Amino acid sequence: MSEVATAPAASGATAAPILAVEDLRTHFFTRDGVTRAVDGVSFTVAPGETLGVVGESGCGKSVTALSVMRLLPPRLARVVGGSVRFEGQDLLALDERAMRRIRGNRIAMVFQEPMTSLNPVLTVGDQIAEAVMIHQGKGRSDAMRHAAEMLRLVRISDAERRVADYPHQFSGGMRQRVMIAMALSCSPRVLVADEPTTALDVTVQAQILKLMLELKQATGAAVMLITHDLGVIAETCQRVIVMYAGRVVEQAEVVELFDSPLHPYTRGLMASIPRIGRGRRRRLAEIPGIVPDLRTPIAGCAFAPRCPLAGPRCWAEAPPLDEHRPGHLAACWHAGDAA
Amino acid sequence: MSEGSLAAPAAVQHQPGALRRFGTFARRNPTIVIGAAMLAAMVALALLAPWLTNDPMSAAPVERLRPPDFSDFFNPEKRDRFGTDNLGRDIFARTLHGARVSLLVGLTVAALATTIGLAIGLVAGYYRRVDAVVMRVMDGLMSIPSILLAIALVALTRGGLLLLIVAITVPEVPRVVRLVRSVVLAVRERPFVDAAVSVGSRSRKIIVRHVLPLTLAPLIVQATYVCASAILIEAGLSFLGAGVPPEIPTWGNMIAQSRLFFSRAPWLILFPGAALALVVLAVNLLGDGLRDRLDPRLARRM
Repeated sequence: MSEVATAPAASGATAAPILAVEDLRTHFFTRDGVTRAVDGVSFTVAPGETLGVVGESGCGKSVTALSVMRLLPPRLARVVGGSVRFEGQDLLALDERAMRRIRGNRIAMVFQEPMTSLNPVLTVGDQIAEAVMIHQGKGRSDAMRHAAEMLRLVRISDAERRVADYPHQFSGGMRQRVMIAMALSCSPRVLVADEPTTALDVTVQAQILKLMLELKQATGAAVMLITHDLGVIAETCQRVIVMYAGRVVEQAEVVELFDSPLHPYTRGLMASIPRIGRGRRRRLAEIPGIVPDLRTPIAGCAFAPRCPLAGPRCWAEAPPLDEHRPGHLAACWHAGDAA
Repeated sequence: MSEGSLAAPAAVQHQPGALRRFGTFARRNPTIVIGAAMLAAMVALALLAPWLTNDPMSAAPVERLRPPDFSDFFNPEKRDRFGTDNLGRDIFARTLHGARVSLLVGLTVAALATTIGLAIGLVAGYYRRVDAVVMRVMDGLMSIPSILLAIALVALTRGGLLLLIVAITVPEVPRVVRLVRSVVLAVRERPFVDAAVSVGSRSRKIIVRHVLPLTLAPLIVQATYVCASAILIEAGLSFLGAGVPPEIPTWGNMIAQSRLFFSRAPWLILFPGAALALVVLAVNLLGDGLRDRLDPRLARRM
């Protein structure tokens, strides 16, 4: 099962990371020019860790995930630079055959839309069994038994009977459970969850997150959780990266990040969370301006046009992602002042 | 379940008999049932034609141009149930035997065109590189009128049923390809295809398992329309003399040979014409019913 022995010597992280993304650049080639959707993103995920990726719409979170899975829309988007090392192997250098053996088996993905991510004409059992049959070479009846086992694991009652049901017989939350069962069916080492709870209502969100964390504990998988919801991050993650305009602007342990955010963008995000019972009549804080157009190269800090602290240096020169406190990285010329 | 007497009657009520279930189905989908029943009756009559009728080829000049006489209808020896033609041949026998050719052509063309069209459409829709080339070829094929193609093929060779089927199938294939391709183009953008890729499925498997089933509903409906149009084209070709050799009784041949007599003996055209209309109506009713039934938005309510 495991060929983990050849793990590379990774610098910095405490344990050898299971997933190491290095200077990833993904561009979209559109009629109006090149969009730098992901522009030099680096991060690592340690075995068993939950890494949160947070940022507003269009900051490159999902594209990062799709780049890792190599599921980018062909001919429209391409990874133009960097590496994605999984257990020491560069995924970007693998051929499609080898990549297929990893997808769904060693790295699995949960998508945002549970309503449309299941095939309406196949039973959920068939869809969960698909990965098992592909990767574990099991026969159909064995795979279906395994599918029922997975359904029970994601707390769907009467699992043996419900494997024969079709997706439309399940509610949104249950479908997301099915998606999770599908993703975990081959016990992957890394689970990439792209906004797994965004399409669900709040009570179901909590259940799904709880379930994902429990299953993560049980299987020892590392999770890369993409979300725009800082509340979800606070509840589930150990480490967080904050993305803005295709770059990582801050990276820290979750408690550290919430206690003392260094980047003005992170602070803005936190200030814009509505809080009950505090300052009743106060207007909800917002970050002025809009996300910059990623088609034109940005000379300085991408956040400068919206930043209250922006000075001449911010406009002229892009700040590097430096460690301002132990384990706390930020890409801001003013981070030193705050730290 | 096992503790008998109390549970049993309830179970009976919850599981209505096959007949009752069919009744419910028929009430909700009358066009399917009517179309299918008409078609089944035609197929049965066509298959049983040798036992129900006289030899459709035997001429009896003495009995020529007799009007229909419906008395003693179920006597297989009777020659003028639908009247006789200008050579004294039994029109009832010829109409029933003509159904064999029509149905054979209709069903074969529908099966061939949908199978070939499905395969090409799936590949063209899923692999965009293939698409550009294949669709231009299909556009070319689509511009060939089947009548002209059939006439050309008959002129080049000696004609025959197989050739006729090929001639009708070729221009039908692009229509099926276009339909399948359009469904595939829509389906491949749906998230569950990405989800299938993300669990490690290969393209071939995704096409067969995830894309193909969604093309079947419109394809079945299209197959009925192909079938109806093939029957009509066959009749038209036979009428023009470019179809089945004239000695074989087909509806088109019968109508063509009756042209000179129909003002005096309208039954010569009436019966094959009515049979043709009924078969096409049956197939189209079936197709319309299936379209309503297989539309997922409507099916949910049924």
